[in-house]
Amino acid sequence: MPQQTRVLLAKLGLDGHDRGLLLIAHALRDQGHEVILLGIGTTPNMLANAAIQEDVQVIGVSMLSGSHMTLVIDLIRRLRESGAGDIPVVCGGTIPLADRSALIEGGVKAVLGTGSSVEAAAASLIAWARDDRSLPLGDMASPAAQDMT
Amino acid sequence: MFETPIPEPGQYPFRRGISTRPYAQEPWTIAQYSGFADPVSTNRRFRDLVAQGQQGLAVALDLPTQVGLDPDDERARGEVGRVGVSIARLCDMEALFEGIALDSVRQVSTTANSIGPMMIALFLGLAERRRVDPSSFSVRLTNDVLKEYVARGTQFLPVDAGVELAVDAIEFCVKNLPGWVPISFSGYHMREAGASREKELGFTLANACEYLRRARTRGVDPADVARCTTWFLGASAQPILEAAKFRAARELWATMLWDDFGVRDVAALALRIIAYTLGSEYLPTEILNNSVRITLAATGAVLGGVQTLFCSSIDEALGLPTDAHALLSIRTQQVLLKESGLADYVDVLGGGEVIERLTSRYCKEAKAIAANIEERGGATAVITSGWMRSEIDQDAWKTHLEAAERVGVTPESGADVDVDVFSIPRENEVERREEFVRWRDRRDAVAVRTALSRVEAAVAQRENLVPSLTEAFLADATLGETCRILTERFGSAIGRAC
Repeated sequence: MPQQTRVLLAKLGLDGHDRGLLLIAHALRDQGHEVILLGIGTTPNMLANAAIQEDVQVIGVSMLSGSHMTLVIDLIRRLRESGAGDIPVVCGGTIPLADRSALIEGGVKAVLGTGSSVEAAAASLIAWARDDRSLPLGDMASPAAQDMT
Repeated sequence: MFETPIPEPGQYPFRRGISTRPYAQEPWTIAQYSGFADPVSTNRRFRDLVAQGQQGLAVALDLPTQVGLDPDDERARGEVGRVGVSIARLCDMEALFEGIALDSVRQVSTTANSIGPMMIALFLGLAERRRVDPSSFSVRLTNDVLKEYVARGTQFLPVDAGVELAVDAIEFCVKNLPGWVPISFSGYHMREAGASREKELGFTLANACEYLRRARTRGVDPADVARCTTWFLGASAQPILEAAKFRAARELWATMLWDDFGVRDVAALALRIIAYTLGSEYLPTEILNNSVRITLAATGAVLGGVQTLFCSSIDEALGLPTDAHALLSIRTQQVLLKESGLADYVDVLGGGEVIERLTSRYCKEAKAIAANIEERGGATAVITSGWMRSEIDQDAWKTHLEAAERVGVTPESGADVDVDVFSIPRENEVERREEFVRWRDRRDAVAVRTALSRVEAAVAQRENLVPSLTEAFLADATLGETCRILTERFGSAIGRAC
């Protein structure tokens, strides 16, 4: 039995396209991990509270509606204000290149764009949850962001 | 190999098409989905599109509008004007269509999936302010809220209240505006969420039955509903399979209306199909390749005999389309229509062994799926129980495991040059919100209150909401205010499954 990780997955905002998120949840569960799925319509506040209450090791957020710069940054702020800034946040979705570095600078650990495989997203979540640099952290993880942890 | 010969094009059950005339004489409607930021910005794009020869204007609404939230609502933060245009009041409609004569385009459509009656009321209000007859133009709504609960997620009411609201739009249009399309039964979004072609057809059929039955209990003849509705289906880059699916959709619908609803007016049984290329198939790498995929998908729709076609843009996986990419989508359709020679034939594949076998198989399997849903209590029951969603998820997982080979996933060096991405400045939301709040504070508060209380009374008495909503928007009530009346009565389902 591999080591089990507690992963929180959600979509922030009003977008309902959750096929990718559900596939990642399915893949993680098949690998033996525990997935808490908040699904669609989650607010940054709800997500931060759930992360703390459920004592998760990593948060995965799927964003396809273009609201990432507002909502994901807000999530990071709320986590930090609640003393949970150490929970890593990995973001995936339709994120333009210019915004990827801005999200990383804002505290997101890795950004996986559209076209990333389900396996890559799952692997990145586990790598960040375990803070294990020998695992694949995700394409867009910047060296600077890794140094901050 | 066939027991009975397949009826000719234009004949029941319309497997071979609803018309005997080829597209060269009766072209399909070239449409493009567009909308972003504020109404003034989208109006500029609309005017360009009309100048480029687009015949159908399809208004993409932002997510707060789709779930009935005003732009200053806390839950709308970050989403205003992002995936579509923000429409919260009648003057937004005036700005959106400024300088565009509604009767000059073949059809105006919107992504009003959960707010159908509100959108009809906004168009009626616009017609009134412009002093034009609403029957002089045609509005098409998506308005199929059932698929939101299982696939697209922009419901704002619990299922039962949501469906009844959708039926208000159907009832109103059937009785008052028969040239409008009050609902497009939608398989597209379920397909995008993972459903197979068979389930795309079977679930659409089952959902459509639910609306027909509910409308019938209000005294609306299923034949009248059939006359003014369409199906909205996806097109993948597998043209033969998709052509067979579109052919199967017509046969399924016509035979179901004949057998189960007793419709005998053959003209009412002819299904008009709107096809949209499946956006989830387009890759963010080597995006020029997507142009080939989109062309193949569009070819399948043309071979399948659809009436309206939407093509994605090659930058679909990156964000909203740039102007150049939006133009390419329209040009793709124009090349198919005017240069490819495909427009010279009606159902050119018809009679071929492969296409007929595939069509029959899709018909048979979709019919079995719809029958299974009936046995389980109908569409609302299997949506509420979670069964339909789990069927879609199973297909999505299966597709994932099968992992069809894709080309150009890892770009060749130099193939992915810097791609221009369409972007909306974040200040746009702030400006929109501030302007909206200033405007709202200046309204005639008494007139708004009076008009909203009429909507409340109509909700309480279970009247059709379109007339009172129209009066409310003419009195400058907002979309959020009207939708709040419903959520206060029935509960809010934003972000919840049912």
